[in-house]
Amino acid sequence: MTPNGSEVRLRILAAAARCMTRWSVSKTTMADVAVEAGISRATLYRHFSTRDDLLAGLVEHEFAVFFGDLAAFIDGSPDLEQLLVDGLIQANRALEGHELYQRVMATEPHLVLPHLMVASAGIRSLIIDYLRPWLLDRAGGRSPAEPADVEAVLDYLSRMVLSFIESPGGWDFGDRSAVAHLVRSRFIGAVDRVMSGGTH
Amino acid sequence: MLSLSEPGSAERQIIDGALRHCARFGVAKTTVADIAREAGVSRATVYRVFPSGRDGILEAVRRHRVLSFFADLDAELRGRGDLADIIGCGLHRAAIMLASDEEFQGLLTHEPGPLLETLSGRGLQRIFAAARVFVAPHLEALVGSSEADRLSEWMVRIVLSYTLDPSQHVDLRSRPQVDEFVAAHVLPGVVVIDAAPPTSPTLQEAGS
Repeated sequence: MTPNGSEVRLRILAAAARCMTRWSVSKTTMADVAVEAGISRATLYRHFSTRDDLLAGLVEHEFAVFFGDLAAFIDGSPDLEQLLVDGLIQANRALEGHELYQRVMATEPHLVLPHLMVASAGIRSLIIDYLRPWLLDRAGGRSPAEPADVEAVLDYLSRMVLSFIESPGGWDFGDRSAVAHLVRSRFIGAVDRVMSGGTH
Repeated sequence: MLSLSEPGSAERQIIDGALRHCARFGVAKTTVADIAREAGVSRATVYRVFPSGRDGILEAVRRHRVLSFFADLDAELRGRGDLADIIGCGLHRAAIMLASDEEFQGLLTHEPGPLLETLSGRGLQRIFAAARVFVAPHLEALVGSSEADRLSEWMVRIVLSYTLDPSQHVDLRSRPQVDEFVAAHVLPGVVVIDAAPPTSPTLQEAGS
């Protein structure tokens, strides 16, 4: 894709997000998005052949932006434990303030959830790559763990990260000490067990 | 609120009819007339039991599915006294039940939107609540009531994630793999925190 093409793509996604926030997903037509983006319908269809296609692209894009912002926020953390505490609190706050997500989940979740499920597998692999050095750092670079066990615990962590961001459940994310307890018990316990070679 | 409708009641007949029709033709294509025909009752009866019609029936169907799932799980967990065994059995049986549930698998493949809606947001809160009612009591004597509630919620998160987005590292349908998973990922989080008596200040503080 030419730089110009990807610029148009971003413009379309931003326009789609504005339309869907304003009118809902089901009431937004491809024509609305073309007008909002200031492009022809032919150009729009060259990038996205259906509204569902556009929605999938939007979910993927919003996911990437969300986690890019989150990574920038927690990059300076002193260690894995603090990173998870700050990351979960910040992610929860950001999601609560995400107008489009809140609106869609309140009124037409069935339209967007299948796309979220598809995109979450890709996002999990980004989370895994992001967390890997932090995990090795916690073990002081001398972990006796098998590489397969390290990957298994990273896989587990990425799932719990997404699960707790999506829903805090019985945990109060406004209470930092509660989140610290959550991170110690549901995340760090598993990490330390594996990184000390405790599974063999 | 958390009880199943009585077998043989008109409500139950309608719910069963809706379940059968949705399984065969999908939720989107199921009308009140379809449900009435499938249940063998008149449309007037359907509206008497569910004044809001289709929405009310589908809501009752979702509630019924969650409750009957957890009632079955509850039966599996009875008489088990060991923490690792209760958690392992719960994760394993739940994964097996979902894998062999043709309606669940059919929806996941052909109509994921309405299914995923029941597994997130308010739907997920309902599942957490059911886990607190049906699973947490089995754990309570071992870890205290507030940790039991959270442990049951944690189990729901694990089953849903590993079922909807299968992992190359662990298959919850295999009990030996589940036992390894529980030992590596779950027990360290429970044992570390609850090495103290169940009423430790940490738990109290986190629960407030």
